[in-house]
Amino acid sequence: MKTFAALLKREWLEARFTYLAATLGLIALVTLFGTLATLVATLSDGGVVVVIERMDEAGNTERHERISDTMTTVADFSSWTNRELESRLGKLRTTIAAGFHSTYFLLLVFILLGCVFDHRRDRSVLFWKSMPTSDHLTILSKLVTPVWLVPLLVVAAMAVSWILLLGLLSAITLSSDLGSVTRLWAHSGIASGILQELVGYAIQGLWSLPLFAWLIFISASVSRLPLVWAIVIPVIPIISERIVLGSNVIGGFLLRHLEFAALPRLLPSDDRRTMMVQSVGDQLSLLLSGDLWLGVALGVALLAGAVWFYRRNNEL
Amino acid sequence: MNVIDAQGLHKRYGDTHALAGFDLQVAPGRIVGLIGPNGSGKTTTIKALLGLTRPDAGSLSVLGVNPQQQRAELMARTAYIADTGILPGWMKVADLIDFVAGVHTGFDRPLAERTLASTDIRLNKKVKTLSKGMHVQLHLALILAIHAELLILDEPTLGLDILYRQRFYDALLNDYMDGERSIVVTTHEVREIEHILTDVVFIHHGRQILSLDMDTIGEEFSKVLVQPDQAESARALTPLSERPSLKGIEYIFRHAALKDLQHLGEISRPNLAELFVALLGDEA
Repeated sequence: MKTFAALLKREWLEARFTYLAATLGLIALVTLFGTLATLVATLSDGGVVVVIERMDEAGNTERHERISDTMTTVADFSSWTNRELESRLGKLRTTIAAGFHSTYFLLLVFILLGCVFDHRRDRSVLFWKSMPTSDHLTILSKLVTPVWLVPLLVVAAMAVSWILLLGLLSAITLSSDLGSVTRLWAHSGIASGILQELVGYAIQGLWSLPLFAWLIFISASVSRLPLVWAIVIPVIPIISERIVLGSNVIGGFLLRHLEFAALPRLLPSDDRRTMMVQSVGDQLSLLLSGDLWLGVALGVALLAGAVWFYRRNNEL
Repeated sequence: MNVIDAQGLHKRYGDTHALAGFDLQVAPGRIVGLIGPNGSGKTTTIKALLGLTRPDAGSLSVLGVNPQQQRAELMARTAYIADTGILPGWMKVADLIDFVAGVHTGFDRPLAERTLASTDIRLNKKVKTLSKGMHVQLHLALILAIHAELLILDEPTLGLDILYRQRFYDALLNDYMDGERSIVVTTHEVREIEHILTDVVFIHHGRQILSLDMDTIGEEFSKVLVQPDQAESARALTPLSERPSLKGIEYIFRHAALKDLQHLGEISRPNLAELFVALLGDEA
C-alpha cells in the first residue's frame, strides 16, 4: 500500500503544475467571464453569447442566449418559484462544469499518452524500473491518479467557481435589491452538484476505461507519434466494418464511451440533439449496463497489454 | 551460491547477435569488471541481469531469482546506475528521496540525507538543474543508502571529469563494499577501475573471452620488453601480441614459463588495457 501511495504521488507530482495551472486558469476565466458579463449587462444592452438553456414563460427552452442577460436575469429571481431558481442555477453550474470537463479531458488525453512514453524518451524509465515496484502497480498508478484522484481537484475548482459566481450574483442582488440572497444560496444546489460531479467522475473512469486504457497502451507500446497511433489504429476497424458489413457497431461503441469521457454528467439524449444532465441515480444506473462492463473488460485487457509492453520496452 | 549465475545466454536483435552463449559467474563480495568494445554485448548483459530484457536462450539467476519473472523482488536487493543520467529531471531532490523511501524498504533515508549534506546538492533543487557530476553524486547517494547486495554500474562515470571519477570509485570502495556486497561494472576507462577490481571478464561479439580474478592475471600473463635483436626468440614462444614501444618491443605471453622469458628482457604484469588489446588483436 505504501508503494502504491508513493507511485500515485509520483504521478501527481509529475503533472501537478499542469493540473494546477489548468484548474486555476479556469477558475479565473469563469470569474472574469462572469464579472465582464455583469459589467457589460450593466453598462449596455450588449452581451456575450454562450451556450446555455433558458426557459421562457410558456415552458419552451432556447439553448443560445447572452450570458450577460442570464446573469442579470438569474439575479432578478424574486418572481421565480424555488424549482425555477434551482433549474436555472443548475444550468449555469452545468455550463461552467462543461468547461472544466472538456478542458480536463484534453489534459487527460495528453497526460495518459505521455505517461510511459515520456519516461522512455528521457530514459528515466530505467530509473523507475530499478526500483522494487511491480509493473502492474506502476501502470495502475498511471491510470488511477489522473482518472480518479485529480478529478477531486477539478471538482473542488468547479465548486470554487460556482461559489465565486454565486458571490457575484449575490452582489448584483444586494446592490439592486432584487431578492433574498439567503434564498439564492439555499437553492444554489452546490452540495448536490459536487456530489453529482464526484459520482460522475467515478463512473466516468469505468465507463471510459477502454479509452483511457487504450491511451496508456499506446504510450507503453509505440516508439514514436503516440497521438497519431492512438487515433489511426481505431479508425481502421471502424472504416473496415462500415465498408464490409455496412454497420457501425465498433464506431458506435467507441463514440458512446468517448462522449461521456469528454463530458461526464452529460450524455446525449435519445434524439442526440441535446446533452442531458444525468442525476446521481442515472449515473449509478450505468453500473448495471452491460455496455459499461464490456468496456471495463476491454480496458482491463488493454491495461494488461500495457503492462506487457512496459515490461519489455525500455528507453527509446 | 553465486550472486550471478548466467550460462549460455543468447539474445538477438534482428540480425544482430548481441549475446552468443555468454557465461558469467559472480561470487559474493567480488568487484567484477565487464570489459568489451562497443557493441560487444555489455549493455545487453546488464539489461538481462536487471530483468530489462529477456534472453532468447540460456539460464540466468541473479541473487537466486529469475530477473525477468521476479524483477521487483530482485530490485529490492539490487541497485543500478546507468551510463547517462536517468534520474527524472522534473523531480526535486527531496521528492526523489521521498519516492525511494516510499518504495524501498531497505532505504536508509538519514544516510542519504547525510551523504547529500556533504555535497553542494540542495534538497529543493530540481534534478534537471544539477550538473552531470551532481547528478551522479545524487544517484550514488541514493544507491549507497539502499544497502543493496548487488550493485550494477553501466559506464557510471561517463562524461565526468577525473576528479569526480576518482571520488566516485573512492566512495564505492569506502562506503559500499563490506566484503559481502558485489559490484558488476562496465567501463571504457579500464585503467581507472583496474585497482578496485577483484575479477575481470572480457566480452566480445556476445561471448566471454576471458574470466579471471586479478591475482591470477599476474600468474597467467606476462609482459616482456624485448630489444629488436631478441625479437625472433620472443616470437618463437608464440606471444599473444607484439607492440613496438619507445624502449623496444612489448610482447604479451600467456602460460609462458618464467625461465623462458627471463633472458628476453624486463618482465612485468600487463595491465587490463594491454591484455584486452592483446586478446582482441586488431578487433579491439
